[in-house]
Amino acid sequence: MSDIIEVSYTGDLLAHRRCPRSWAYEKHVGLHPYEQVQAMEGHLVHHSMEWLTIQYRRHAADGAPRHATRAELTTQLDRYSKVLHSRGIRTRFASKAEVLERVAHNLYVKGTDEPKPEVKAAVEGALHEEYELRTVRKLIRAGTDGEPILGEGDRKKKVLLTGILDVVVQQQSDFTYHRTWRWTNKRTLEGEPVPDTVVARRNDLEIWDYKGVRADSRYQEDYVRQVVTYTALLEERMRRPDRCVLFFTNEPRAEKRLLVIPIDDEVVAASMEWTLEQVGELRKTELLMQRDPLAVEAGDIRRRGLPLGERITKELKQQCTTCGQRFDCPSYAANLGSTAGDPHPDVDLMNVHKN
Amino acid sequence: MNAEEFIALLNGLPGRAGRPAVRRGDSQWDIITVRPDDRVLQILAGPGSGKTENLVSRILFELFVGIGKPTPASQILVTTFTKKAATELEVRLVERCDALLAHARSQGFDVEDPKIHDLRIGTLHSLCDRLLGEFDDEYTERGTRLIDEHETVVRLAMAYRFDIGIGLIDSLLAIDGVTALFRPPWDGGRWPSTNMDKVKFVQALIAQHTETWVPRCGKNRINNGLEEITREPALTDSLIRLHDKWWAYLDRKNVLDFTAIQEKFLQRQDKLLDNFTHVFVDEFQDTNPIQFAIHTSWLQNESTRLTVVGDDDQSIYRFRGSDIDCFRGLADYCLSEGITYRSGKLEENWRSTRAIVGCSEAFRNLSSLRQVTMDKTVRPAPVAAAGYPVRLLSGPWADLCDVVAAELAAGGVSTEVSGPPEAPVDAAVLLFSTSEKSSRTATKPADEIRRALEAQQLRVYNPRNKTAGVLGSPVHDIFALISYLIDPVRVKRIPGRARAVEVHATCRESDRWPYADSLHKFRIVDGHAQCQKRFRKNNGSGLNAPHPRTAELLDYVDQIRDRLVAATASDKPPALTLAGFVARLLSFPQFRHCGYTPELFRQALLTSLIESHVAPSRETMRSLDSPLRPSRNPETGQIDWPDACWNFLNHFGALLNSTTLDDLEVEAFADNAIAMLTFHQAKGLEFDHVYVGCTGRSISPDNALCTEFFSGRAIPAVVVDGHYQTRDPGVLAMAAADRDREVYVAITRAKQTLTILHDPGDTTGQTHLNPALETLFAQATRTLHPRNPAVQVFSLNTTGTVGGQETQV
Repeated sequence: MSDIIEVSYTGDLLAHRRCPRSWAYEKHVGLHPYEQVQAMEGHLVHHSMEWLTIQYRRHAADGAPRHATRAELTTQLDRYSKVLHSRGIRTRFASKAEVLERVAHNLYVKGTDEPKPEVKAAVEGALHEEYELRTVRKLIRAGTDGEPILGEGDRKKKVLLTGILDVVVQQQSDFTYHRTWRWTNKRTLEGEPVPDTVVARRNDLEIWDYKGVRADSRYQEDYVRQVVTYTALLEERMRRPDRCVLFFTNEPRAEKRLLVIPIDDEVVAASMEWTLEQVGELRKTELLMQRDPLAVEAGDIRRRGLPLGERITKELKQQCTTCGQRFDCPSYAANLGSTAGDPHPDVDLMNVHKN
Repeated sequence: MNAEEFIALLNGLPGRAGRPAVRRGDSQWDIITVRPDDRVLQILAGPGSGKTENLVSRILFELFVGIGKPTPASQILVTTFTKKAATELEVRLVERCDALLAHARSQGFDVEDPKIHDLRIGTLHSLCDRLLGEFDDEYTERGTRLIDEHETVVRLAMAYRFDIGIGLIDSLLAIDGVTALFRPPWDGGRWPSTNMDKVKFVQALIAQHTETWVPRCGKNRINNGLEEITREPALTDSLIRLHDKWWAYLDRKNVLDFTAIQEKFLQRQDKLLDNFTHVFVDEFQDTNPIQFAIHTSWLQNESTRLTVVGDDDQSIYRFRGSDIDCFRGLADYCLSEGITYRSGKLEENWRSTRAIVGCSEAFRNLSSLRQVTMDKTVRPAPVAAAGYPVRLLSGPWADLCDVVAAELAAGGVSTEVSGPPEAPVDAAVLLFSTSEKSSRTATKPADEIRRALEAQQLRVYNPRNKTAGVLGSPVHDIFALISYLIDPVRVKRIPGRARAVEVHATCRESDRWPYADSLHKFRIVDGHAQCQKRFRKNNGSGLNAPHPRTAELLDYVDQIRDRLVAATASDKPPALTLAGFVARLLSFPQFRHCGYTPELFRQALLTSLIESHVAPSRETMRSLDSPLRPSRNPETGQIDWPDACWNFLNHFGALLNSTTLDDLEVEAFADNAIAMLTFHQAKGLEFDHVYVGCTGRSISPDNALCTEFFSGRAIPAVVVDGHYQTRDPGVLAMAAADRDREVYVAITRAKQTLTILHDPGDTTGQTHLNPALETLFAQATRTLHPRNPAVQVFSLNTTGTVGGQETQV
């Protein structure tokens, strides 16, 4: 049948890197957890940025450009949260009012109706046409001569890569960033965030990606590779952006909320290569799953080869604690120190106090 | 960029598979280029004729050239028949657009990015939902949600009695002339007998009324043709009432099903007319009247263009409400409305070998299609290989299955005996029905084929097997365990009974309720208990002495029940939900160790089905995704479960006991597997090797009459043995063509080899050989199959028609 493997950057590639086992059961086979654990907050943040942009443009079209006030945003979020609720997306760990307050708090200067500078930069600079270009889809051939992804015997030869691009910004005025990604090895795409000043000039083109996490996420490197890959996907259609920006919407420290990623030919090419490597890894998991589902190992793909208990990162553990496949997961059990005779409450089949 | 430049760039793109260049004056030029006076273009495209490629090229023409200036991508709408087709079209568009952009720039053109992602592509239902969400504030603010077919059935089952009204439904069920229209062709007249059958009947009735009667007769309040035929003077009013009551329910719940979304969209479409310049419709031959109304309503905007593509010979969805007259009547519609219309044809088959094209053309000429087909001649592409002769394998079904499996295991090429294939075979077995639900006395053809293929270590993908919910499937067994959790069936001695009897809270006999573990709340159908008992008695065990593997699970559920009750009474109430309970059960080896088999995908089906049941209750205060908190009734000592749990058992039990379930159609399931598909599912697909069986179903006028009646026409017909009979020549011709189109779709899926399967010893219904195929193979060369001499091989040496003349190898 089809020779195309359809891969979502976040839902597949990054999820697979975090835990191939969980990805294989939930995303590949379709064993979805039917209890909606989707973060309402993430939806609200993205909706806020989109709505603020539309409002700003609407006022600008009326000849009086201004940003929506905090109260206006909160009213809109209250309405939108009802839409989300009716679609089964709810807040689980906090009251709705608290979530709405936190979202607004992260976007506005305290006690004012003034959006934070980074929010203003994104809203004012959002290119009208490009802003609606949210779902990036790009067909990539695995090899130049159309070789199968995993060589002879594999039917999949093309990759349909899908990702949600949050916004392409064309700066309307100079804007200063205080944190930059310093590449330590461009070929392997390794690097680290460093305090540094970068000034964006008027008309500079930037790809922004919103991340609903804090700036010190362990997956920062993956996010960097993701946004650089989006550049590679889009550059045939638009000119190459001057830089990429990660916007950590849940980061309380203002100086750490934006991370600038410098790009050049080498990192763009390396990011595409890396992405295709990840697709290859994912395809290996698919085929292993087809041969023997129980052989698919759990835990962070970067920690393969380490003892079972060490394959679960701190952030992955937050995912594991609600994973539907955790009860017989050897890696998670080892990480918790759980044994058949003395099960940890998280994986104890008899524990009715945890879902 | 002008038209010549665009076509020159298009001709220069790689990957055109040896196709000749598009030139001014040829049919492809006329199809790809958009003319200033274009309003409606209808493309008649034969199988494998590259309709997707041409559709993509015409869309790109709009984006790069347009009329005077490129048309913005956001003003283009493309509807497809399936999600899969939408993805395929989107992929092709993105691929071609990027290549064209790069090629244009390399040739020195200064072209703007056409922003291909702003195109809206999808099935009509998803586009209706998306467009209303985008342009209709009320729709968005109410949070209106589109529900899938599973959820529609569940909601209809819930609304059946009180929201719609049992009296109204019963009055419709009592009219044999109404039920006969929707009765499955293989049913002898008993359907609808179960509650879920009745739900399905109501669903089909509402759909046909909404999709055919409303657009064709609703405005002028023309009576449904059934009213005269059944002599039920108020029948049209009853159908309107049924429709309105279901609509009122949907409106209260802020949801829309796949039928209602179309009507809602048609009502609101005028708000959106200014937003689109060009609307493209793929597979237009399977359009139903309300979809026809939606597509043609775009033309109310005088600057909007409509391009439709399809093949009248591949119209096979009348049983779901489509009407080929929509496709055939478009030209007349345009004429009557004064809208400029032109048509184009694609007649070269780039998919199949000459042998296969020759066979399919010969079939078309020998079958009833000859009388109704639109004027076209399908030719093999100039580069097409001669190919292997098309074969008819004739013999006992079991031998045919072994031969098919052996051939596919060896690489699937012809009858040559060779070693194992190096790469997975791209092959399909296509049958009119792929139900694997065999009975004690009869084995279904698809069931036998699966066994034969699996014996050769080949995986099989059959998403219409109708066995996904049977005993032994995780769907059935996990539900049985949920039933056991909430309402365990016990065998007890109770006063007034000489023997021990089965006791549970939802049993019919009220004198047993006080002795049940759980408190009887209200009457529900005890289908859940049937599942539970089947599961506990499996492997020849009794209720009180289950098989050890079953006993382990039951023991676990007993402990969980005790803990839930104890925790509910404590200061620390339980947090476990139904989802968490199921997740725990699935971790037991009985389920987890099932390998990469249909069983694994049935675990996914279970979670999907439970979601369908959870979602309808989400808006209530008794949501099933809340923690399970059963309490102990202080008076009786019985366990008191929330009402939502009983409703769940009621509807899920009915679903499993009274309907057949199919597996999910997921890509992962199909990967590296032999596809076993119905003729309908095969539409739009292609395979290197195709085996086609069960081609000779009898002709039934039910579906054709359904179209006629709901279009306000009273065609004389009578119900005999549960099905309609008529002498109307028009209806009979429609019915015969419907049957032959299905076979035509099946045989045109093949790229390299095509094999027809027939067991002359089996005289049951659909297993006959299609009469046209019988004629076609009557003079074919006959040999014995080298692998199994019980199978005769009839080889057809037709290689296709070139210039109207049939040629031979």
